[in-house]
Amino acid sequence: MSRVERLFDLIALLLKSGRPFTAEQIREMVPGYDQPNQASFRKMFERDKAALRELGVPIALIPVPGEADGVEGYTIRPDEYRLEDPCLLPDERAALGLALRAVRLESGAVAEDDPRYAGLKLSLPGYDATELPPVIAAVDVADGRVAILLGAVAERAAVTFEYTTAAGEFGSRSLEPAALGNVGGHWYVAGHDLDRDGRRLFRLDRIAGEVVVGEPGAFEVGERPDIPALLSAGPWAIGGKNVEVEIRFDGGEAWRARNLFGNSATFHDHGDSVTAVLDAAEPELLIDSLLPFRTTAEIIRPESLRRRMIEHLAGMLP
Amino acid sequence: MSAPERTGAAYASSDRLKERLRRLLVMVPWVMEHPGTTVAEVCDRFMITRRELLRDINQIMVCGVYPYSPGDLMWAGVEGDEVVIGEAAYFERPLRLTPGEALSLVTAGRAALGIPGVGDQPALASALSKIEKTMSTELLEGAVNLEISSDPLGLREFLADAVVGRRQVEITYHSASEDEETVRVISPIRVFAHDGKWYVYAWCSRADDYRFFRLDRVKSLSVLTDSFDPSELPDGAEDLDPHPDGGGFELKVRISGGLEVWMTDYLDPGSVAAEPDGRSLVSIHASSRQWAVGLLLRLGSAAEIVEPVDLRSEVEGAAERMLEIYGVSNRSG
Repeated sequence: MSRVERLFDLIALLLKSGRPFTAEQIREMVPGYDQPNQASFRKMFERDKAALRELGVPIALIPVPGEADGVEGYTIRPDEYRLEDPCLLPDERAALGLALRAVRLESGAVAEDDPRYAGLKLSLPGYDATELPPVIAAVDVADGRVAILLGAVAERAAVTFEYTTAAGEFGSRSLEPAALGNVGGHWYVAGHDLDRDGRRLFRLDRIAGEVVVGEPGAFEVGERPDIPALLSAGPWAIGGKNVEVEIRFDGGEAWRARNLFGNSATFHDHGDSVTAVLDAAEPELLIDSLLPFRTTAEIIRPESLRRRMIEHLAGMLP
Repeated sequence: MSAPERTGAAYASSDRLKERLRRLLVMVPWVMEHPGTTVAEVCDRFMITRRELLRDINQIMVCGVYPYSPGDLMWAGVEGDEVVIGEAAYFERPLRLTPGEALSLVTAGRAALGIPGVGDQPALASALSKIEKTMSTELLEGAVNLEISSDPLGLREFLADAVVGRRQVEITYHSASEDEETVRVISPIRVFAHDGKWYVYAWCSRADDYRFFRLDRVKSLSVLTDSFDPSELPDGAEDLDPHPDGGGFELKVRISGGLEVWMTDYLDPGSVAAEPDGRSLVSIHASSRQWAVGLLLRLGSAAEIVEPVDLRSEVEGAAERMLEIYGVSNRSG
């Protein structure tokens, strides 16, 4: 009698019967629990329950109907055990199977076998493991807090954590999380900041230690923040009032300017130079992105930003 | 977050046991959902040997429910080449997704939306929507969004086509370390995203070696009519982890004003040491002098160059030339 057999029989018993069994009844009805004494049976049973929970099998302890008060038994509710059928069409299955192949999850919160088992549970098509697709993405899910935050978003539970802002300020934060995002290789969580009473964005690698999750159903979600969109406009765009900024670039560098600003700027061609006009809520943050252009870029306006750049450069001279 | 360290045979066998049970719990419903599946197919999908499969089948045969009379046992066997499992109605539907499996699906699926050839089909978005609906009573659509990196020119699509079609590509590339533009003919092997950036891994005839090229440094690209045969190229070590070329040096700076957070976030410094005056001594690997000058220009007066000292005049020179653009001359006389 192997342990695998015993565990399998235990799941089959609890799943099939639909009624709860006490530990003693389980001991009689599942082969392999023939332990010399109560204490060693208990220990074995506890280890078995822990193993099953780790695999995601939902064993619940509930009052046994028809028995005296306080008598509890173990059960597995089929609707909790079973994967709800998402009713995927064949092309949807194929697309999802391809996605699992094309994205490599760098592990941590996700175990190495998790994508494969997810594919098997959903009956996604298999692929030739020796042939790599032409395009692959690697996504880092090493941070276990990604999974925790996804759970909090799904359950609408508020979270608290210790956080260091980009400016270096450290403190405790409370958030009603509404969205998770991964942009540029970094994970972010966004939602309603309870202390500052407004929408805020947090980078996970600046969260120190654990994320504490509150009770489910604590808040309603309105529109979910689109984290990539919030960040695509550049760090200078997030904030309150906007200021119009104009920057001149040498013609040969126009392509890099377009790479930098994407759709958030309007470009005007002046022959051997190009100007970009954009709105910035925090114009100073533009300086960091313009320095790599060296002498091929010049801030035209606002005057305050020109002065700020001159100050930054002059500060480096003796 | 790492698992507690344990040693010894007991833990290893407990691991194997859980793996086996995990596999059985998924395999039984899978076989029942794929009638007519062969031994070869099951072995391939579940990554087991024929011997392991037969062992699993024998295992299933003795499982069932109390009182374990013949009618209560599950049935499993091989008929011809087919694997058959029956009498296990309660195992017909697979076990729900574990948190790790759910996260895999949502993360991989949403990241794949940005991959040409995978994400441009509407089927992927609708599949994700259906999956996310089953994960919670709340509509989770839009709750997780991944953007690998912006690729405003959409180069990865052209490169993906070139990889599949085995066509050579000519690129005008702006190398960060040399701060110069070069034109190269490359044979692209793979397009991939790593750490938030898109790259192409290709054989570069100019370098006579494999190279990683960052797509946001490609000024222009044309797919040539010339094709190449990957098997004729030398073996590459495609570990898809672009690391800086050998060479470079250690840069040491003293920084103030909370910049440690920024530097640790973006640069992965070798060491950060607090100093008595409240500043920090940070040590970073610099791939080239150009790169180091670029970093120091961004840090500005908040950084004091400790080593190599001769970088100071280079940084000052660069700042002076930029000030001239603003009509500010710092030279006396």
